[in-house]
Amino acid sequence: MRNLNSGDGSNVDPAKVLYTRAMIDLAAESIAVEEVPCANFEDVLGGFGRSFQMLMARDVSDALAPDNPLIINTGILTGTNVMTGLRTYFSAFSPLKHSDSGLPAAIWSASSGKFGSKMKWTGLDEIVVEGQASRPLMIVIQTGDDGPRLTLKPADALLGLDTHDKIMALRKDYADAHFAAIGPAGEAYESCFFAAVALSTENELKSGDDKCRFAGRGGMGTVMGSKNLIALVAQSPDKRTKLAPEVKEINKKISTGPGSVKFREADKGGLGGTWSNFPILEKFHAVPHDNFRPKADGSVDRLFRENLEDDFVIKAESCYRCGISCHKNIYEKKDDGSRGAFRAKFDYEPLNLLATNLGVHDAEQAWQLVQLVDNLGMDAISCGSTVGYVLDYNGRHPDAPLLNGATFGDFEKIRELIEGAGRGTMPEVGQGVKRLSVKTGETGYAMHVKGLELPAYLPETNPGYPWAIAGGHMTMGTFMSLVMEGDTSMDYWVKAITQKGLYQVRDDLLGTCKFAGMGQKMAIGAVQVEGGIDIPLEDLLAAVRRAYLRGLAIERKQGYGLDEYTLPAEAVDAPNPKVKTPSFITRDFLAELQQKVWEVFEPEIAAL
Amino acid sequence: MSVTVAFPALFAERIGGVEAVELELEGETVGAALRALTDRHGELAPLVWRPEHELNPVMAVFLNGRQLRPEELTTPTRSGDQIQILSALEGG
Repeated sequence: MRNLNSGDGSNVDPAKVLYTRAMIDLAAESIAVEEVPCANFEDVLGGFGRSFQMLMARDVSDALAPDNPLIINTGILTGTNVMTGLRTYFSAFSPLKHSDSGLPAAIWSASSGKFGSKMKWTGLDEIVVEGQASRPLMIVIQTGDDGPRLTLKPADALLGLDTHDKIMALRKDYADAHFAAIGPAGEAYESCFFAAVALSTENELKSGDDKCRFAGRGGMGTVMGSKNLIALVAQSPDKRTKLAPEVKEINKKISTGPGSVKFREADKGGLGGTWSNFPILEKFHAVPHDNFRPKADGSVDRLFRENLEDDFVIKAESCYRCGISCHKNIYEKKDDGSRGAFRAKFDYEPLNLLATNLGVHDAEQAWQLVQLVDNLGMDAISCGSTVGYVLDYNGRHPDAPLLNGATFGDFEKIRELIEGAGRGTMPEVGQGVKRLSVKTGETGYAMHVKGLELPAYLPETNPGYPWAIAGGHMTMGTFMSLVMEGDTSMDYWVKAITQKGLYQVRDDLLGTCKFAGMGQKMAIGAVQVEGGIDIPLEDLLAAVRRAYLRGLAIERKQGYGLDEYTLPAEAVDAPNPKVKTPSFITRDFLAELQQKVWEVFEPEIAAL
Repeated sequence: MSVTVAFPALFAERIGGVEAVELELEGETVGAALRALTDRHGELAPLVWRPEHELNPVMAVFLNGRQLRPEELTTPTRSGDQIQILSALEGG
């Protein structure tokens, strides 16, 4: 990215900021690298703020068709000295998230790891991949004499390998590089619509353990597979500038301050990671269990972190130069108490949705399911929620079950379902819960909103889910509001969605991780020092808001009716009496909320 | 004696953007300091306390950087102490 504005970074004209983009046509195997002037601050900041402008201008009716552009980009802080500035974004029309009209919605998915930094260090900000290759290919991005150099190379040798094995195979050929790759699920793109993209981490390459990070949501691995694009390689020496005192202070706040306290270990003044949501939410009986239907029978406790510390070595690790160390990695504990083989990374979402929510409460079984989903390259949330539906259906229909007849807690059969989804042999699972529930005719307990499966927070606790644009909890910050604030008033929820929740997506432009917990002042300071752009707070917030609203605008363009901004029927019509949060989301409440939220958003969308 | 109570944006936005409050207390405890905070700023009471006057289970309290269990709110405070209250629940 080049900033041609003169002066000290203030009064920035976005048109004088240029980003470097590669347009790749896989069918023609052609590559064009160009510098593009930014149209607005969303372009300058990057991520989905930029990619959604391109998607909004496209007419795509089939996410697996060659004309669906896959946009791979970074944020302004990716690859900088700002701690957690590691994000890579994959944006496209989603094979999974779709309106009742059948048209695909736009989505982005973000991942840390080091691939994005390496890509940025080659001099490249964005890649737009179009068409479909006639043979398996990978894109190799390298540092050239006068800018990034991109080449397309055969990827036949990678086919069939798991995510981690693909990355380790590439590592043999490319030193000082990082990688993004699909797994078997992405290769089975016609059957698995929630395939993820795995991105390598420094720890993974050094240890040889399968510690990828994932761009999971919305099937970006599926889109990659549909293009016959198997992997990307970004090869560049690390390019770090001298650490400015202001950034040193920002990084100190990120690694020791209140914003990241949840994700740090206790010996760093932290609360132990997202995993520690289990005991807190269980106080409300709000941990999803047996397809989002908590039973309050105590079985959830078995996967509390404190109950596994005797059986495993739990080590906090990080993506790259990150003091938060949010990865809570589980290792075998040897007889002498020392650390043995790596097992899996335990986060709240995958652990809940691939274990507790499937009736699995044994840690040995849980890590095997988490690892299997990672190795196959799938989104843990979508996979877990869809399998949960199958188990629920089979419990309701013991005489005419789906697929292998698996029910809650049946570990071996659950593993078969996951394997079947990831290898493409069970498209009923792999194509997601919305499609499956429409086929069975029992849509009420299919845990999705707008075709995207719900994360591990109960729908009856979050009427903001319908306005999340790319994943229920990471793109609408209302998912814990009820348990935190306990407010059930209409006025509260309208404001929570239209004035607060949507700003959850700010980091999805910047290139930083939400776990950094950066306040607005810190973010502006980071963009100023490391990005060279002095953006006033009101301009930053306006850019984030426009980017978010474009997400809603694309949904409406792709045929979403107002009645699709709703929750699974079971959560509204049959509230679970075991859940100890207030039960307040009725049909009337939702109807009024829809009306009031759209009264705010619709004029703004029209003015975009 | 004076203690400082700091809190996250969720709290600050309810009381005009103030991110920390200094309280004058005499021979008090951490729990009493939090009570004094919510007496002064009633808007914060629903965040800090549940109706049964227990600490909101989604909140974590730190005294000079050390996390306290709910039963440790009886810990005495000393002049200059830093109390921090944060959400213990975050997504990801």
